[in-house]
Amino acid sequence: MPDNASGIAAGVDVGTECVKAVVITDAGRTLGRSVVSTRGYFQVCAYEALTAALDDAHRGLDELSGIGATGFGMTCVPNATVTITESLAHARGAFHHRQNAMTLLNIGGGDPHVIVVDAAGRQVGARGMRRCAAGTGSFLTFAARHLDVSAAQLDELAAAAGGDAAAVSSYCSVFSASEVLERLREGAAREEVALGCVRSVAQRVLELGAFEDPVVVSGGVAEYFPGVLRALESFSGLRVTTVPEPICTGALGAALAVFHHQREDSVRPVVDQAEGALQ
Amino acid sequence: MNYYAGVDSGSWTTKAAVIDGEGHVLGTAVTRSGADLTAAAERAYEMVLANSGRTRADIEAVWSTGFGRNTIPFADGSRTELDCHGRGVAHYIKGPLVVVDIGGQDAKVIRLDAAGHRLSHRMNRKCAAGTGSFLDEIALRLGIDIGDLNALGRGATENLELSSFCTVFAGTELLTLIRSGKRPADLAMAAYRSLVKRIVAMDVLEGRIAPTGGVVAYHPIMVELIGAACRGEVVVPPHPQEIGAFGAALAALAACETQDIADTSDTAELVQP
Repeated sequence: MPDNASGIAAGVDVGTECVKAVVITDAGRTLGRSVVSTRGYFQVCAYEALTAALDDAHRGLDELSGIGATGFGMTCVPNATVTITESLAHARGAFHHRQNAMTLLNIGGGDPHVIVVDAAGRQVGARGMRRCAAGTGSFLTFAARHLDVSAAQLDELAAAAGGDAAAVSSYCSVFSASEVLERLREGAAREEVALGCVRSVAQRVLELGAFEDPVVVSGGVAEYFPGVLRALESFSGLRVTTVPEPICTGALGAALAVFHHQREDSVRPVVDQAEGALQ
Repeated sequence: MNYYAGVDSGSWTTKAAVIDGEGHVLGTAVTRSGADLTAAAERAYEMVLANSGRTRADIEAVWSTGFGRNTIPFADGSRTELDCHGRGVAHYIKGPLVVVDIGGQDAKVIRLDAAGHRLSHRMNRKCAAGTGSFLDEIALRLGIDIGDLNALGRGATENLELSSFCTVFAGTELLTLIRSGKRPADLAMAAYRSLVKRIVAMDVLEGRIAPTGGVVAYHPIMVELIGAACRGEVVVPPHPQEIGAFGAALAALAACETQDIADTSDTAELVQP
């Protein structure tokens, strides 16, 4: 194995709300991570996240054997050596933790995706949503603004509702804002409205179709709004779990892709032969 | 002379109109609906009475319409907004025609036949991307007053397109485009084009098209863009924002006229035995 196939690699996931970066060993162990909010120039955010993850890992940029990029702003990662789709990155990242077939729900700031992962860790299907913020973390960020709490506090607020939720039926994030105010005006407690918003996200995600057990959730929503997972469980009757550091799943998958590609390069002639034999 | 009033209680603004027995408009008013729809209706009614130089005693009947039409205690009757918009537009423009009403939080397309009767309708209440709320969000992201968006759009020179469908995502996309050096004027125009695209997708727009609603009233650029996007003749009725309230006033007038006939027949019946 060539020298650069061992050592460490970084993965950067430029999402609509946050840029995530991880630094991992070739065995897939995470050495450092960072999450910064997406704003201004994506290149600057990506560089900032990568530098912070390297600092966290106590490593330097020159030690990296490669940088994997993914997410909606993946083309903005400076010096990326590998670029993979968001669904593939999440599939690889989640499979790294689970090592089994699963229905993976990637729920972040952008539109949610259902990713079907087989027992070998391959992404065998992916379906997205509706070019819309319904069923995303952005919906909850919007709702939090109108409930006058930080996005991070929304889940806590919802958990304090004791199971009583106010109905939040708006599909649209923009319209939900007036609905939130209407519920409050009608006398609903902020906790109940927060829980209503959390449940609404779960309902929108479940509209993506029937899911096969086991269901695993990755992305920022699993990190910041675990209440959505509990709502998904109660509405679907399925057990819904997550992976460690769910928000970094895509970044982890992108970092793993660096090693994956290096290995692929070294075995490519064999693969070509196999393909030839099949024909 | 008898006078009639209509109040259109929308989710964003409340509109009112006062007409005479011939259907001529004496005055109109618009106020923000805010949290209390009943209070907004009271306010709009007071405003329209002042604007038309009338008092409550002068008004024979006031009818309500719109999203909050059942929250107006002083209304003598009510009609749906589809009915009132159709009625209001048909009073000014001869059918067959297609009414395209773009409000703050909804949009509707109403087809009317030659006699002004409703043939069909389409509504969007689910998604802000095809309503005035979309422009509000864009103005907010551009850091300008919504009232200045039309003038800003007029200065567009580059043909830009927003790729996001969703209002929330379009807001984020806009920020990215500003940072990549795109001009606010071009972005404002891109937002208008995006909104028109959603509206045009609601139904087949052809023949005579009558755009109405607050969005058309405050953003004349929309009329031009709708015209460019469809095959047909675009005619904007007078006071397009208050057209629903006007239609409600016409409904009040029509009801009183039938009532008069009914009263006469009642009297006739009483006299007969």
